[in-house]
Amino acid sequence: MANPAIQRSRRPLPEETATLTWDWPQPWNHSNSYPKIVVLNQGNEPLLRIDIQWNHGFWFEQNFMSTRLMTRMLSEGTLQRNAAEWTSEVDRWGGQIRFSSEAEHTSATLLVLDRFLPQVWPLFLEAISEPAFRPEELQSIIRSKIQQWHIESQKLSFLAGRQLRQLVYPPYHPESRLSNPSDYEAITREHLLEAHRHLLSSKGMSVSVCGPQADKVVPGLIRDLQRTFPLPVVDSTSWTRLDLKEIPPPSPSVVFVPKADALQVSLRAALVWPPKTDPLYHGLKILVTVLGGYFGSRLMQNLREDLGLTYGVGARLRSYRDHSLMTIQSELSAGSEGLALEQIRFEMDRLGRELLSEQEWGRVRSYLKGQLMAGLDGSLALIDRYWDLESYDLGEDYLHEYLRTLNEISPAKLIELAAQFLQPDRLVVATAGPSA
Amino acid sequence: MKTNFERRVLPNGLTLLLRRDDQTRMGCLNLMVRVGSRDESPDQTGFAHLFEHLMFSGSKHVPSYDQVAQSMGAENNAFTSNDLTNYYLTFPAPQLEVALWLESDRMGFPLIDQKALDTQKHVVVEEFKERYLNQPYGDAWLELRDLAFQVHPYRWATIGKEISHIEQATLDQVQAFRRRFYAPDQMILGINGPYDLLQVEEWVTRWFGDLEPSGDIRPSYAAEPQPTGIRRREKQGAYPAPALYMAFPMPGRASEDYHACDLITDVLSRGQSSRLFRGLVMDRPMFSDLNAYVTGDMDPGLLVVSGHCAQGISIDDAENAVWEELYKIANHGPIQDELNKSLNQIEASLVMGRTNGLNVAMNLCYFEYLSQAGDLDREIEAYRKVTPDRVRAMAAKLLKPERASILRYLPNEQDDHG
Repeated sequence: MANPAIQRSRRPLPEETATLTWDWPQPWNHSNSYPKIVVLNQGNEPLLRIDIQWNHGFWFEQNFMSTRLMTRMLSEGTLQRNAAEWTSEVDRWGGQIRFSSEAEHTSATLLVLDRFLPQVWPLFLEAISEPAFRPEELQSIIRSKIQQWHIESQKLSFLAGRQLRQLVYPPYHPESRLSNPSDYEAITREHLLEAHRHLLSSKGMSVSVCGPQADKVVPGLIRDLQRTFPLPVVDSTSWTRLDLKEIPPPSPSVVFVPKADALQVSLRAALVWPPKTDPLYHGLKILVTVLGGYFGSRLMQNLREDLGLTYGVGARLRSYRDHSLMTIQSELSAGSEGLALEQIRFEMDRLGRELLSEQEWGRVRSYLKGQLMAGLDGSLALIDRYWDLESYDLGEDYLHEYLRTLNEISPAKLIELAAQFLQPDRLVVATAGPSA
Repeated sequence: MKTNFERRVLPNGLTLLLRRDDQTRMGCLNLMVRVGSRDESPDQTGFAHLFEHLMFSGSKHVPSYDQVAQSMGAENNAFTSNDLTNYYLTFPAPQLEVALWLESDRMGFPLIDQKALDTQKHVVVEEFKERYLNQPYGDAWLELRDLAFQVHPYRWATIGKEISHIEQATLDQVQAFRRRFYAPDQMILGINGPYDLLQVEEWVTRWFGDLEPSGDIRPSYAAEPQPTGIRRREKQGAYPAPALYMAFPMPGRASEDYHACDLITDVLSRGQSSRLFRGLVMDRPMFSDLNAYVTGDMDPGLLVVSGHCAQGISIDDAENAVWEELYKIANHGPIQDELNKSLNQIEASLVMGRTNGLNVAMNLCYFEYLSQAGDLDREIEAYRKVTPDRVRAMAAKLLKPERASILRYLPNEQDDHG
């Protein structure tokens, strides 16, 4: 029984307004300014995180799949230690090392307890600078990748996602190229060495160090980095960089990929939008949130809560240096894809016709401010935000500008943006599911 | 490692755990309800999870939970396991009282009508298809639980044993479920943020203090009989590769033997230098991936080894290779060096987990549910007490063929890429 003395219908007021301030990684000034390094001397736990990022990724590789296999093989042994020895040493000291290759950059991350840095840091450097790429380990990885490919290829989301990429990107764009088992089989040790030489050089390398003891260890790290990666090893720009600005707008289309035994339909849809560096980007990000970026979004309300067609539907923005891709994704009950697509188009169109109510706009604005605040809370989150921006040559100003847009943009401006960018008839759609 | 926290119990049985963290500007609220799929009736499975969905349908004084959560800048979600249902919310720190008001209203006064039930039944059925039926090996846990358990309610998954149980759920059944389990004496509330205990206690009492306890005392769950022979199940179909799941009964999460069991799986497959990965994925490639893990259930659960066979490797050869590794650890145990490696990895993971306020609040609730929240800080010591010989002895006791439940997926001949 509710206590009548408590007025449950009245929402309590917060005691104060949340203030949005944050620390930001600071450049470390040192004698010859190489490598570029930033430091965030923050954190409660005895942990250190070191990130190294290079400004090229797999879009620029000369042999398809070589970059991704190269980064995977970095943890499979060095010239000094075989894979068993190297991994055993890293595990022994509780180090967590991750190498990854993205479309436009490649990165290496080390997370380690402060007291084990002297043991793990040399192993981290050794893997990056002296990988062995032994053929026997390469063959094991290739076999494993092919097997995983066969498993993935049974999934509807994989089939729809591949089809979408081919619809969005022209044939000469690296994103339109789809992996097949033969691509893995064609990769040799020489391809990995070539990818390593071009990607993981001193050129285009930048570093962040984060943790409560960061400033104490940085001078030593710089000495090691300069010794390990003397300037210049090779000019990585010798890898041709495509001019990706000239992507022709994809033709609107709906393509279906049949899969005989499927129980659902996977839907993927996209629009090509301006890049993160464009002044309109902040507004577009807000628009995507309203459409499908949170639990209360228009699409979640319509497709899941009102119609019960799906467990989840979402819209998000994927950023690249020259453009961004607005995507919508959902796994739907079989046979409902026509209705779902109709409703997706309806919601896109509605955003370009009807002003957001003050109530909805207030909700979205608060939600996004909360997200921003959470994304800047704690040293590990801050370092993630730093790299999100550094990858596009953006800095802390971007966050202030985003906050300003959140505070100042009007529903009238959002309707204008929606009318310009959320055109239902421009949508590129791929679905995969059972044949009719 | 010490997690400074305060514990209070309200007169209605709600347990409050507060960890003050002055370094953060975010608040985290975690509410754990002592109900999971093990509390369901065998012919009404999937209820705990379905009910979790329904708790987002609004409440008497807050018609839309999500709209209020979003308007306070919060991110929220929930999950259900065999043992518990967990709701969580992160928000700008000054919004704590709003979060407590919001959470208490749906816990005490949820509005669940036929329309909400019908919609969420559709949503959960789609989730069932998406996660369990519509992808290769997606039904592995439905099959494995059914094979490994005969009487204990762990024999069905949280999503439910079959779709029809969800489709047939009625409003009366759902309401009865709520009355029994959604009461303050069945709940543990964990909070992390820059808060003063007295203030938090006052707010929690204000918003949760008038909720009525259910007084429900759970019967002990049917004890699973000791297995008396190997159990096998094979599924033939359009699978991309043969796959193997081997499950062995093991003690529950609160048992003294739990940590030794967990270390068996760490030695076998934690990190790239582990025995299974190095031995059977890389050096002698029998599998494209192979993992060992414990389910960590509160009642006696499972130690599982699972993986997909490498190209050209038969399922029989792959299974035999796993047995060789299991015999090795059961007969010879790990060496101290291997244990030290696992212990450093565990310590690093625990320290990393402490950097996340929600993770801390959730862990405090979980350990309180198990026995007492303070045990969270004793975890690393519990692991450090385990000797190589203890691991060997546990492995020898657990990893016997007559205790194994083995599920194998066999591709049709034309589909086999192996």
